[in-house]
Amino acid sequence: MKSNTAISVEKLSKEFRLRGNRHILSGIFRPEWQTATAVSEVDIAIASGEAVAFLGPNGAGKTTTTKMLTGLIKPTSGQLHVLGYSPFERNYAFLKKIGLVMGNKAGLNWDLSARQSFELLQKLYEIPISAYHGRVKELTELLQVSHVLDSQVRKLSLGERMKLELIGAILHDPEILFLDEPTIGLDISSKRNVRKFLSYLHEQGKTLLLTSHDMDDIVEVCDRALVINHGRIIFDDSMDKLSHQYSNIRYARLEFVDASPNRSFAEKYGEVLEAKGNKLVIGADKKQIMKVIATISDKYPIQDVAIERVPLELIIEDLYTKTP
Amino acid sequence: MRKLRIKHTLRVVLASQKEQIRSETAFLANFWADVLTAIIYVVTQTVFIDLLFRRAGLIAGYSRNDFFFLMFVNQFTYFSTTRLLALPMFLLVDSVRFGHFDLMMLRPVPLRAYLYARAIKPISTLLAAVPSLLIFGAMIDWSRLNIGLSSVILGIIVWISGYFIFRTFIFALAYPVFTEGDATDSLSGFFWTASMNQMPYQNLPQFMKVLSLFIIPTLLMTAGTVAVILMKGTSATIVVSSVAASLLLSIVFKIMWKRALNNYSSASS
Repeated sequence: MKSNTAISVEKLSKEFRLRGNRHILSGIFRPEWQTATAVSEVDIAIASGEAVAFLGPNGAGKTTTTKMLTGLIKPTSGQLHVLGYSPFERNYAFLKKIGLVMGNKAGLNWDLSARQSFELLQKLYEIPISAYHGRVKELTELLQVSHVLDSQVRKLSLGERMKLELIGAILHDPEILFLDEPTIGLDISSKRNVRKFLSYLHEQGKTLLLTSHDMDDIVEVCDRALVINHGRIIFDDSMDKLSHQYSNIRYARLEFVDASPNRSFAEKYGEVLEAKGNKLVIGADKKQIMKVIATISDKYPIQDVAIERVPLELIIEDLYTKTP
Repeated sequence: MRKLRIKHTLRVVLASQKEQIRSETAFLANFWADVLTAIIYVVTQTVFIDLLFRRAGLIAGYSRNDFFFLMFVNQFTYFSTTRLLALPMFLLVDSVRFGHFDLMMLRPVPLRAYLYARAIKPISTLLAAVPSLLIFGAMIDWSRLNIGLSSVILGIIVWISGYFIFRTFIFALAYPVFTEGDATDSLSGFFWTASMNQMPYQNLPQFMKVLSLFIIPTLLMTAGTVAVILMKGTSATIVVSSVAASLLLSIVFKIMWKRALNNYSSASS
């Protein structure tokens, strides 16, 4: 393992035992068990200081992999080292070097204020008291939540709570931060604030592994993407390379004076993504896109046009569909 | 190193308990119902025992005074087992079911110590236990109890053994949450054992005495302890068998805990 490697994974697999009975009674008296493979022989290497997006459709194996990397669940087979530690051994020195933020799980006590919960974290992680006060001040100011630090957590808005959860997860200054949907349910302004903060952590040299279905999180924070589907890694390279193979394609977002042409007409000229009311989204080679617009507008007058690169959502979706 | 780790764990336990007290006192009205229930139970039991012993001088070799002592130990056991051992198991089952166990596992402290410290509610435990113990304690004529220093020490050994046996027993009831995904109903089953504690131990059939070592440990903790302290019956057998059972079941507990963590699949995000 190289000295600057933060995460090193070789042939990592995880299988779960599931009950297979269809009938209630036979399930009680004669349970049949089936094995489901959640992660299959995955190889990952992440260097210290990288910000990596971990992408995949629901059930692809992202969360299971993250849970193995943090030591929450035991791998069925494979080699796994995070900062040189075997995560499942729950070495305290290792636990002090990682942080985990799960967008839908609360780590703060809802009956108390965030400050009171942070006091317990200070004891748990043995943060020197002066460093602790400085860090709480710095992080709450950065995330603009200083004013709610002493309010009961249950009375806060989702955005405020999420920011405070994030602070709780990094109060001990972890080297690696695992983030699972950190902006889920937040409004645009809070999302922007959290993304800015994650970029700041990345600049500080922290290693980030970010799982999110919000592509704006990925684009703004990460410089590399790992895409997993059916428990296997199907893409592992820079964000630029991810979109590179789609760089010759453009999408035209057209708004017509009257109704949009029907789908079968539009499909003669390119890939139709959306055809609804007086709107049409059509994709074609970037050299052809102007010609496509001109041809369509001959028959159907257009009142507004926007030409865009292929959105990351579509690139990822395309990758998933190409996976056997 | 080990000393430092113990010191750190103690600091975390104290900080967690401080947080629990803050949580409890945030909802003051919550635990008054608990106190009231405990007092009503004690008063009705006291009246019933008093009436019973007015008609019969001795029941199964126990005088009225002995029986109040049995009730005193019973209450002490009840609060110790429910508040200090069962509550953490209910928290364990809930946190595994809903995924909060993940966050506990990430803390750099011994997992069980942290779980217990997060579950035990010191204020409500004291408020519920102290009135009950005071009322039963006041009903006992302590000077008339047939006890000696050695019998008290042996009784405490039996009680502590029972405590460790109960720890394995209650964890066995919670264990299915790691394999099946839920254990709420099986865990609630421990309450039936609480109703079987108020029986004079030496008069129980042999199979009940054996059962008390493994599946009704609260019976051993109350009736067994009282039989030893009041020097009724064969103390040596009770002491030896309870210590042996607790050692055996403590090993079983460690194996089960390790298996539970290996089986933990973590609730989906």
